[in-house]
Amino acid sequence: MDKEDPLSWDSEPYEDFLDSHFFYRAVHKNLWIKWPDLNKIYPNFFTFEQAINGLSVDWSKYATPEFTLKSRKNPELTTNGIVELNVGKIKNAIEDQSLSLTIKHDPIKISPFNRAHTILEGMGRINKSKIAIKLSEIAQWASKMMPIKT
Amino acid sequence: MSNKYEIDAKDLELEHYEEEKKPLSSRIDDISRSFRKKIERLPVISIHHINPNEWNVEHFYSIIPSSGTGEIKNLIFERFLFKDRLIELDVKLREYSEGIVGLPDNWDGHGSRAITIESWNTASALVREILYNLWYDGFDISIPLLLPDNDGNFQIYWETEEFKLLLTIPSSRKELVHIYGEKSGHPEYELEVRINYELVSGVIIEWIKKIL
Repeated sequence: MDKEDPLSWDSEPYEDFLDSHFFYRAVHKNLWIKWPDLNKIYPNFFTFEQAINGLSVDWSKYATPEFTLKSRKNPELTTNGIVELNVGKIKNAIEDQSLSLTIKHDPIKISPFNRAHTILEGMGRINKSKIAIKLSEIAQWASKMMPIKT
Repeated sequence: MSNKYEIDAKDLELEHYEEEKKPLSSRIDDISRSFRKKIERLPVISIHHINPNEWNVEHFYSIIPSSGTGEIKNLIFERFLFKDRLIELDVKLREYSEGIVGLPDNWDGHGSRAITIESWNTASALVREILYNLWYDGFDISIPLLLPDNDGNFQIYWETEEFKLLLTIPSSRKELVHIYGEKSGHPEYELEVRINYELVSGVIIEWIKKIL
């Protein structure tokens, strides 16, 4: 990944999130092991209380699905799968569904460094179920990152 | 749905019926007595035996509850009307809970919260209450998914061709439940509320009845 001094990483503006970009996020086995169909993503793939300041994702400008997987404590597909969310689809959902979400680049400048770190802000107790459904409709497993049931 | 239920006598005490080696008429009498004894303890019911002179294993009782709630409703429901569905529900709930309920804090290595039996009981009781009432009232609704989240909560989720409905159930009944529902092609039926646990089943049942 990037070899620059992390302290020099600036937060990039919203305009830099192109429609063709993706966000990546790991999903632990205990969340998907009971899904009836692993070919689709169900709304419990992420939650909110750990995302008081926003839902953490990795931006494809600086990350790959493999990078996101390797950042997990158990970086194996038998334990974690990696979903990808297309940025263009998120923007459309924000507009079409009146979701109160904003996208904010938030590079982590202390160890473990992560220039890709981005947060989806605006989730809360009031709107979480709708956002969970809408994001699950957008989400899909990243290429070769579908988890393996054992 | 009518409030009159016809019950096959064979269903009344199936195990008793199969195990006993008495003559048929005697067995039916036992079944009848056993059943009547149960019913007699319930204050609000009348029971009519159809063709009382023709005892046979295909005999039917007609049960007319004067109240559709409470103990008699559960009795009729659990023992007669939806026995197969209840078995299916029990199997599904067991399947959802196995390997999930009892997970300790930090089960994902990244700060997740424990998934407690209390959290499970809170969510599964709600599923049962909603389904019992809808099935009893004749609505053929499927068993939802019951999935954990990182926060130690459970999500109850229906996804059918007609609607999507998600309930996020906190681990404590004192916390509010968040609900989002939508019917395909009918934005006017969108449901988004945050309410007390005690109110959830009523809201969900009414919403599902309205959209189906």
